[in-house]
Amino acid sequence: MIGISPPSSLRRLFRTGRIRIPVSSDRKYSTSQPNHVQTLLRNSELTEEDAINELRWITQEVREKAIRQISRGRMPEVEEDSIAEKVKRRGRGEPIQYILGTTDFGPLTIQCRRPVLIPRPETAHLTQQLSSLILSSIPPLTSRDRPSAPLNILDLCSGTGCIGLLLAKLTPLSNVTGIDNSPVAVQLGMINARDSHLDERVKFKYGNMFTTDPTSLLSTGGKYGLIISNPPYIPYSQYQSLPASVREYESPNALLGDGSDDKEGKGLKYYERIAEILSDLLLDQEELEAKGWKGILRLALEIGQGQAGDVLDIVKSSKGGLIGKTEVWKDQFGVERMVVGWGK
Amino acid sequence: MVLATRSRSIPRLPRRAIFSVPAVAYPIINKSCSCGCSKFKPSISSSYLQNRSYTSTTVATGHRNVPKAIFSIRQRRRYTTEAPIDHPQDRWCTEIEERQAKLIESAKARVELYKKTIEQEMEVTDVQGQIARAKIQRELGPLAQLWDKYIGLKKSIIDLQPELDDPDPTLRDLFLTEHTDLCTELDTLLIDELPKLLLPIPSTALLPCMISLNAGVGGLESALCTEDLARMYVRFAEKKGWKIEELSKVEGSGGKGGGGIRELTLKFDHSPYASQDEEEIFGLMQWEKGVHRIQRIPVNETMGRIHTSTVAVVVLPIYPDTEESPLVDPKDVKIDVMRARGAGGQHVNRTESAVRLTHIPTGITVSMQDSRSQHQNRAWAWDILRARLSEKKHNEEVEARRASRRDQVKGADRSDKIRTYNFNQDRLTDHRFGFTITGLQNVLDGDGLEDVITMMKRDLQERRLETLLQGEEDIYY
Repeated sequence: MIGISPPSSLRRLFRTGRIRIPVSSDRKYSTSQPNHVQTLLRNSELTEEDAINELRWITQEVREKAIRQISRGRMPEVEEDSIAEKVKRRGRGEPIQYILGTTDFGPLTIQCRRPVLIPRPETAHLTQQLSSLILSSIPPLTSRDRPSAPLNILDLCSGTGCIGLLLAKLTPLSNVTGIDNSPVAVQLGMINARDSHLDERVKFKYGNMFTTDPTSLLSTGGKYGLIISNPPYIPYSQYQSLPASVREYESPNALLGDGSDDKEGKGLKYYERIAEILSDLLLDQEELEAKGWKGILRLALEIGQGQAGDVLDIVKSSKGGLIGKTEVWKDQFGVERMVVGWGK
Repeated sequence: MVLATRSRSIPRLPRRAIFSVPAVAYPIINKSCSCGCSKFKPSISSSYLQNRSYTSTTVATGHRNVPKAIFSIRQRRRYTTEAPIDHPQDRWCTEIEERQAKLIESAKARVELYKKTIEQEMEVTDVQGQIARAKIQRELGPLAQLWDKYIGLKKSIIDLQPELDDPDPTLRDLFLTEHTDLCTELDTLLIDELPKLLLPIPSTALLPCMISLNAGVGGLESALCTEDLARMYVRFAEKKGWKIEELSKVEGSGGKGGGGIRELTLKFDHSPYASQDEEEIFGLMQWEKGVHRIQRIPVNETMGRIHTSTVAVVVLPIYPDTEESPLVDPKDVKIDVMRARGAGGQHVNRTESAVRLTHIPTGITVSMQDSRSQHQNRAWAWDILRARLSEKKHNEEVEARRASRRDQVKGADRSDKIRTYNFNQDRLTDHRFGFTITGLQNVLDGDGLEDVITMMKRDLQERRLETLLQGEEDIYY
C-alpha cells in the first residue's frame, strides 16, 4: 500500500471523503491470524497494554490446560478455537477470572465461578497484613503462655473462601469456618479448600446471618476468637455506574450492601447486622486469653471507599461492648479498606 | 511479508533496505561489522585471541608437545622468579605424570612459595605480614603435604627402577608388582588429588544462574534463531538434570507458537536431588555470555539467500542472599504500586499483576508482568533483581582481582561476538578460542554443547595454571 500513489481522479475522491480507505491498525500486529488484540480492545475496560498481556495469559492458560488434558490421556481442544472463543468472551466484557477459571490470591490460586464474587487484590493484601499481625502476637511456642488451642476464625460471606483459606495457610494455629448464604459459593469454597490442601482446617457451611437464631452460625468448636468478613457493601446508588464486568457478571447479592430492595441506603446493612450478632458469636475476652490468645484482634471488616466513619460508629456501638480499640487500615492503593477491632 | 511480521518495537525501515543485502541490518557498521563481511575489522581482542589458541592446541593434541611447552614456561620463569630449577629426578615415572607436567610445575611453584613463607617466619614482624603469611600457610598447607607425599612416592619409584632388571625372576616379579602399585598410587594422586587442591572449583562456578536470550536485528529469522538457541540450552540443562524455570518470555511476531522467541529469561538451579557443592552451573554457562551469530537460509526465505542474525545472551550468577553476606536489604527496595484505581475493592475488577522493584542505592529497576499472578511476578522480579546485583558483585570482585594482576588483557569476557553457527557449512566456530567443529545439529540438540564448554573450561584451567606458575593470584574466568 505504501509508495503506490493512486491516480489523481481517485485522489480527489479521497479528499472529498467520498471514498474511505479502510484504515485498520490490525496490520501492525500480525498477518494471517485473527486479530485477538483488536477483539479484546472492544472491551472498553482494557487498555492496549492490558489486552496484550491478557492475550498472553489466555494463550498460556489454554496451552497449560491442553498439557494437563494430554497427560490424563484426553484429547485437548484445538488451541486456536479455544483461544478465539475465550478472546471473544473477554471482548464482550466477561471477567478474565471467569473465563480462565482461576485467579491468584496472594500465594494461593483460587477457583472462580460465575456468579460468585471474584477475589480482589486489595483483599489479598489486607489478609496477608492481618495474618502477619496475628502471627506476631502469638508468644513463642516454647514459652509457658503459648496458646493451648487453635484460634477459631469465622469468615462471614465467604464467597470463594479466599480470605479464610489464605488466613489458614499463613496462620498455622487456626481453624476457619466459612459461611455464605449462596449454595454455589459454599460448594466453591469446599472445592478451593480441597485444592489448596486446607480442607482439614477450613470448613464451609451454608448459613444466613439475617436468620433469627444466630447460634446456628456457630461451629462445632463453639464461639469464635476472630470474625472476619468482606460483606457486600456497594450502595444501590453506585451500583448502576459499576463497570460492566462487575455489574453484569458478578452476583448482585455479593455486591449490594442493602440487598436489592433498599435503594436509598448507604450499603451498611451487613455491618449493622454483624454488630448486632457479635456478642452471640465472639468468645469473651477472658475466655480467649485463658486459651493463650492474648492481645489478638477480634474483628476485621472490609469496607468500601468512604464507609470507614460509618462502620467505625457501628462497630463501637455494637451490642455487648466486646470491641474496644479500633483502627482503619488502608489498602495498597491508599484507600481506607478495612476496619479492625480489638477486645477491651 | 517480512514487513508485516516485524515486531512493533522496531522502527519501520524503508522497504528497499529490507530486500537488499541482509548485512545492512546491523547497526554498528561504522566500527566493525559483526557479520564478517568486508566491513569487518579484527579488533585488538580478536588478534590477541588467536595467540591464545596456540597454547591451547599444544594441550589439545596430547602429551607429545608438553616438554616444549614446559621449556617455554621455564624460559619465562627465569624472569619471574629467582627460584632455581633443580629437579633432581627430572624424568617422568609414568605416562600420566608426563601428561600432568604443567600441573606439577604449578604445584611446585606453589609449594616453593609455601616454603619461602615458612623460612621467612622469623623475619616478618608486622601484623599485616603475619596475617598474610598465615593465610598462605593455611591455604597451601594441604598442598605442601601432598607434595611431600608425591616426592616420597616418586623417590621410591626411582629407587626401585634399577631393581627391575634383577636376574632372579621371583624377585623381579616382586619388584615389578611393587613398582606397578606405586605407579598407580602416583597416578591417582596426580589425577584426583592434586588438581582438586591446586585448582579448586571456584565458589562462583557452583552458583545457580540466570540466562537471558534476546533476539537481535533480523525480524522473524532472529526470533526463530533465538528459539533454536533456547532449545539448545534447555536441552543441555535437562541433560544435566538442572531445575529449569522460565521467568519471562516474549513470543515472536508469528504467534501460534511458530513465530520464534524475541526474549527469554530462564533460571537454572541445582536439582533438589543433586549435591549442591559439586555441580557447576554458572561455571559452565558463563562461557555462553556474548553475541551468538547464526548464518543460514531462513525457512521463510524464498530466494535461497543466506541470512545472518544475532542473538545476545546474558548469563548472570545468582548469589545466595544469606544473612552473612546480604545481597540486598529489603529496605532499599521500593515496590511500586502500578495504578491508582478509584474506588477499588468490590467496585472494580482488574488484574493488577504488574510489579516494579527499584533498588534505590543502585537505581536498578525490574518490572515484571509476565504472569497473571502478582505473587509469582513479585518472586520472579526479586530473582531478577538479585541476579542483577549478583552480576554487579561478581564484576566488582573480578575487577578487584584484575586490578591486582599485572596482566590486564587476559580473560574471555572482553569479546562481543563469541560464536558463529553456520548451517550451510555445518560448522560451529568459537571466536574467543579459534576452534571450529562440525556437527552443528549435535550441538543444537544440547549434546555437543558440553564439548564446546569443556574446551573453554580446559583453556581456563591452562590459564589458571600459568598464573599460578607465575606466582600470581588465581583467576576464575
